[in-house]
Amino acid sequence: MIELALFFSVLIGIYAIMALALNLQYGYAGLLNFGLVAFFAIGAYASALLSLSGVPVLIAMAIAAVIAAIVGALIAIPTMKLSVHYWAIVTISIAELIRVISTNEEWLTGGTFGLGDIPQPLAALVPLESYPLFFAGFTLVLVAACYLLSSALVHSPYGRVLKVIREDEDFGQSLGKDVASFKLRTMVVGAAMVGLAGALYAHFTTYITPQAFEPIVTFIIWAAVILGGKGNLLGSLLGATVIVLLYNSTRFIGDYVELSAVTLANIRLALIGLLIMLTVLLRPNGILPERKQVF
Amino acid sequence: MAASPIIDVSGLSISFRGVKALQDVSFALNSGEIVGLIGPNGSGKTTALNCLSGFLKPDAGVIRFKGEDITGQSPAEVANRGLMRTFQVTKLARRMTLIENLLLAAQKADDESLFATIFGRGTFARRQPRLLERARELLETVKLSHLENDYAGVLSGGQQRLLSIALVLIRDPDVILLDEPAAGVHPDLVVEFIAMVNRIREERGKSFLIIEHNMHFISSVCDNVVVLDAGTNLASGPPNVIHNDPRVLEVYLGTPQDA
Ligand SMILES: Nc1ncnc2c1ncn2[C@@H]1O[C@H](COP(=O)(O)OP(=O)(O)O)[C@@H](O)[C@H]1O
Ligand SMILES: [Mg+2]
Repeated sequence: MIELALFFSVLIGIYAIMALALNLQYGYAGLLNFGLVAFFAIGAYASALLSLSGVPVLIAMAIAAVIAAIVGALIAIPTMKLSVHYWAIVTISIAELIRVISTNEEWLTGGTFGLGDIPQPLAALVPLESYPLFFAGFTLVLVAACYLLSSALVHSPYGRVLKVIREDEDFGQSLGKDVASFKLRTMVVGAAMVGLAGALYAHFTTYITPQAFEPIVTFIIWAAVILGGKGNLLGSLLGATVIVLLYNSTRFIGDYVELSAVTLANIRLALIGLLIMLTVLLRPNGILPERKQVF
Repeated sequence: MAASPIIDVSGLSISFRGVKALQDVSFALNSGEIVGLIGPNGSGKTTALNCLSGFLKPDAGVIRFKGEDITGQSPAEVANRGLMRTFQVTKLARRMTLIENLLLAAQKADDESLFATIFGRGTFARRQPRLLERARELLETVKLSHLENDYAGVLSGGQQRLLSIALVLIRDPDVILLDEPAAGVHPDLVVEFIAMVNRIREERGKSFLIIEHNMHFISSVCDNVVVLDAGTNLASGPPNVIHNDPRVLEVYLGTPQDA
């Protein structure tokens, strides 16, 4: 039971980091990133490959986040002057491209068999029986760091420029804000966070295959942000918790009712879809709506 | 020798898919002067202002600001040089409070860098009280103090126009371009508006280029008026002369506005 709770807390933490990143991009800046899973995959594969080749895990994770950030920049630079709708299309395409690469470039990614025996952080220093607890604590530290970073960003002059991108780019420009460069920076910061979450995932499961990087991951992150409340960072933590628990607890329906795996997967998706529809109808700004900043 | 104008536009032309919106338009604005830009709807006034503020790149022509060629620079660059504008359809951050809008306008690029945001928060925090004070002064000027912590989206059209002027003023530009500041504003407020523009010019020596249909507004504040018709220069001169110019009266015939 403890094991299960620790397992879920790590999973929630991984999604919470990604929900914080999407909240920065979409909730505050209005940027439509429908390819989050691409950065998740890049972070996971990069950190897995680096650590498998002997780089210490913590350093591998940091490099993986930087690689995801660089890919984010490469995507943002040619598109940063375009409207956010182009971002939607470009990010979806990148996610698909990354998935195709992870499936087909066997020499690098192990193809559909994936990568196994991925080392875990500080495994030599922590006793085996307390390792799950250690990993949950490690995840918590990373979530807290990402939360503090996001909070520093949004409650600052930088955060006000993010909001003006969402509200009206031309207005921002008329006030002398170089809007495009803020889109770039926000893409980079978000990509680094999602990349870090991917790295965490790889070292948590110690085994990754392309199946872990389907578009459903992006869907779950969006669901978490919309449910929790866009423009509210605590909302992202709450949203990630609810959605991850709901999504994974429906696995256990199979223990009570005779259902095929495909039917079960569809039920889980339908439940989240229903929850999102209810949210949009009943609490369009999420469970924890954006709070007004009063001076 | 006369000082060179703070804004000097010459030979401005632009067309949209073959439609010539501006053809060889020229005018100038001297420092401390208020110039009115008038003309019937569709005559190219907003297009000219969009070119000046960098939102449109002219096909031909040169725009000089404080002696420098700024043609084709980005809107943000132009604004940071000290040439700022408002919009005919007011643009604001609607889901930010009035004070937040003003802080957004007041803060500088240095405050907004990622590095300053993460490692140098003290710098802006120390400046913030003074910026807040300035923001509140400006809200007082435009009579919106009681709404300082309301979202800008709840303001009436006239109030939004007033706020947009306060947003420009807090950055202390040299030249302010206003696109129909009095449109849809209550007549009592227009009177205050006129007083405000005159006061800003007197106290702070700002220059204005004002697009406006309200002829009372134009004659109360402008030193000079430039008239556009179908994208070309029609006339220019002091308001009382322009008001009686037969060519100007002719292009306005059939348009019931008092301009
Ligand atoms: N972005 C645009 N695309 C196409 N046509 C435009 C655009 N902006 C303005 N125009 C056209 O240019 C002409 C001048 O418009 P505008 O400058 O808005 O006039 P005014 O402000 O004097 O009423 C009009 O015929 C208008 O339809
Ligand atoms: Mg116009």
